[in-house]
Amino acid sequence: MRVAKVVLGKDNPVFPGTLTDLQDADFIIILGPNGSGKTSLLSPFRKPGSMGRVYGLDADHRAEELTSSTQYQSLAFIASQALMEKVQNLRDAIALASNSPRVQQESTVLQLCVRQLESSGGPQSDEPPILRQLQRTYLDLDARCGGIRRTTETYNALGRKLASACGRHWNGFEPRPDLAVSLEASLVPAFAGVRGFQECAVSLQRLIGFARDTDTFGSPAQRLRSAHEQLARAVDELCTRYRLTSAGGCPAVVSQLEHQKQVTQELIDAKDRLSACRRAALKYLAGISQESRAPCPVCEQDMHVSQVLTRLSEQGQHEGSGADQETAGLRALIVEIDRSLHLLQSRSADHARCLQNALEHSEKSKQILQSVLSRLTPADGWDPWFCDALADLRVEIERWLVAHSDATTAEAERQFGQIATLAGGIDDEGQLRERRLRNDHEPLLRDFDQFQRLGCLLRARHELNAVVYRLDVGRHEADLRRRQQLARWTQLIARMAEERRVQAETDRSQALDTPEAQGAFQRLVTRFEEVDPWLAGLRYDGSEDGRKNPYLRSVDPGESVLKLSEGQTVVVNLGAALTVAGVLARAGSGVPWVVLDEPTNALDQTSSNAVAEYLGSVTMRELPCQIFVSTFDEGFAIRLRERATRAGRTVRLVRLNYHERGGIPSERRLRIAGIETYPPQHP
Amino acid sequence: MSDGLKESTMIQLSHAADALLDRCLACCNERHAPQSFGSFFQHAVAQALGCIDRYRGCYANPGAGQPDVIAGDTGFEVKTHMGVSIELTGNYAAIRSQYARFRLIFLRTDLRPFQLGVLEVPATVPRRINLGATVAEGLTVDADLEMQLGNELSATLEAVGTDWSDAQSPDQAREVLQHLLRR
Repeated sequence: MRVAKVVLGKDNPVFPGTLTDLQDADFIIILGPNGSGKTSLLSPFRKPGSMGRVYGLDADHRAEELTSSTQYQSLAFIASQALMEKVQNLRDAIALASNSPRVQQESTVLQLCVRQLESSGGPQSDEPPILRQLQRTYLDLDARCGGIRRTTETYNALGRKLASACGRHWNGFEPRPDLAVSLEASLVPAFAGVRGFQECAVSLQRLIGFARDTDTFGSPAQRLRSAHEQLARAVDELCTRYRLTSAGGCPAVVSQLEHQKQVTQELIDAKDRLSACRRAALKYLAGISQESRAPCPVCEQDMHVSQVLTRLSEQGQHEGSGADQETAGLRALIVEIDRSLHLLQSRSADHARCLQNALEHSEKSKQILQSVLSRLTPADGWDPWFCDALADLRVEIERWLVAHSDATTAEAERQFGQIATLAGGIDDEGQLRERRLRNDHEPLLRDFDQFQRLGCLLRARHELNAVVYRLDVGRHEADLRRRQQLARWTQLIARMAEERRVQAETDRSQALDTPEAQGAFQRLVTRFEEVDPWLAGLRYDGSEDGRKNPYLRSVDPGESVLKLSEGQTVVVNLGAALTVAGVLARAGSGVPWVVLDEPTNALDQTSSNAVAEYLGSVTMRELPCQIFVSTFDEGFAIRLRERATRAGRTVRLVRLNYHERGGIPSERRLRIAGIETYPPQHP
Repeated sequence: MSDGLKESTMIQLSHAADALLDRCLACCNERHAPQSFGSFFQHAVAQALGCIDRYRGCYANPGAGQPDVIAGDTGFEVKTHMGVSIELTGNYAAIRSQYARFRLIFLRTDLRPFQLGVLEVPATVPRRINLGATVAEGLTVDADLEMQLGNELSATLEAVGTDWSDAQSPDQAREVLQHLLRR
């Protein structure tokens, strides 16, 4: 049956439009500028439906819709894009031309079925998703409760123990998420040390520290006593040495020494003055007559001056030597007295300094004791042991304060040390008792930790076990059987798909491996002898190993990849497509037409001419069906028309006008400018 | 039920016990000793049976043969099994005849949650027993023991928790049971 009419559908961009009376034409050329609707007019051939439909006439001249078999639609509609696909060898070209063989399509459909079956055949569980999550949480919490029995009984036993330690009461109950947490928190075992001890610890430490510092840096009272003894010893020694009286103490001795020093100094001065007088008398007597008489300065007897001179000289010489020694002794005595005075002053200063230190220390001791006394007053609720110990300490402190208003004595210091020792004992005992209490507290803390962990676990377990889910074993087994059956079917279909895929592959490589197909292709390409001798030399041998047997034997037998220009590619693909279509059309395999949409796109004029020659020369014997070609190229159309009429075909040339884009919908329709019919030219 | 079959009453343990069994099985598989899971389960079942008044004082068979647990004149065979039916291979007929009553306690490990069942093994021991949703006409389900054992086993496993499921060997797991559940 031949195509008689093309009716455009409402979804067609150039709807409405109809092309009629085509049944008498063998070769229909649609000629029009770009945008005139050529491809739209031919679209019902590719995809019948809302884009339009193709009709033929039956024996009673009634219109009957024609459709190409789905698997051959791509074979029968050859777009320019398909013709420009890259081609490496003729086998690829034929694959491009026949890319939808039935078996391949069946294989694809079966594979799709397998995928859908596999996706629908998975396990269908109605298990609540929360169940797994709660189980994981439960196991994590359980792992933190190692070594104990995870029961409510254990939980309540721990609760009772903790409550007892806290002085509270614990009613055993099942831990529920809503109330257990707050109840558990009420059993936190708070640490309570020796009551009152921490409040007094600082004061005790201060007292102990002061006594320790006193021991470390020496006792002020001892230092004072030492200074006092040294001073007394010095006084005694000086009194003995200078025959002084010790009554009056150090100041009196100093006074006596200073007096002795003064007397000695006066004696030295008198002796000096006497020597000066003698020297003056000698000088005077030497100036007067030695026969004169004069009283002797020593015995006051009247005698001659010469006798007086003699006696004075003798006495002067006698006294002169002894006087020097005596004076030196007196001067040494003064130096000695000065040294003694310096010693006394130094000892006295030491004593004064030590006294001052002792007084300050005494004052500080008093302040500390008074301060500690005021702070170490027991309060209600303090530990009885601590209160008793503090009472003893307070008694000792009060006694010291009364007894030692002057604290510069060693006895005061000794008693202060005893008080500090007592305080140290209280402090040590307090710390010991605190450590014991802390040791007793640690197990309680561990118990509480365990108690809380167990509470968390039991709550999580309660929540987990409350999830309502029961496996329906009967339904599960039925599902299992269904899945097994489904798996068997899936395997069967997958095997069928694989068989068809292999079959399709084999068909593709072998379907056209026939002398008829080879001859058809050969005849087609040899028509390019004058235009492109190289192209005309291509051979199709249908071999599986096309790379080792290239069609381009005359140029480079070793070349594995054909290097074709775009025009040559189009021609090779066109030849392959027409060969496939011709074979299938002659075999009555559902190819009622061949449509070529713009076959000269991207071709130069020479190639375009070659394609016109080539396409137009296809005879009805070579391709026994109607050929539809759309083109914008008037020259190509005329050449095609002339070549086709010469090849014995009746040609219908349909001219389209430019279709206005963007116009109002009523103007967007197919505009046929004219239809021309050319009968065949028989030689 | 038709075809000589009647409905089974397999029960589930608590979700917590089920999680512990699942973890135990996973641990056994990680140690490449999946068969040891059966021993873990046997010890737990023996412990749980001992909590039921009627079977108080039961003990695990120290020998390698059947039954696994003995309580007076009742013998218990304890099985963990993947699949719907089980072959009773071994000299069951001779052993069965030594006990007035004989029970098969099984755990279906191919199902989640695990399914626990108790069947009375008749005097004439069948070669194959169905552990699925249906049981053969000739077999009887001990539904009471199933229920009691399910409760006790759940409580037992929950009490020992991951100390049991994560034990390195069945012997260690048994020690955990004895240590933590000592009264």
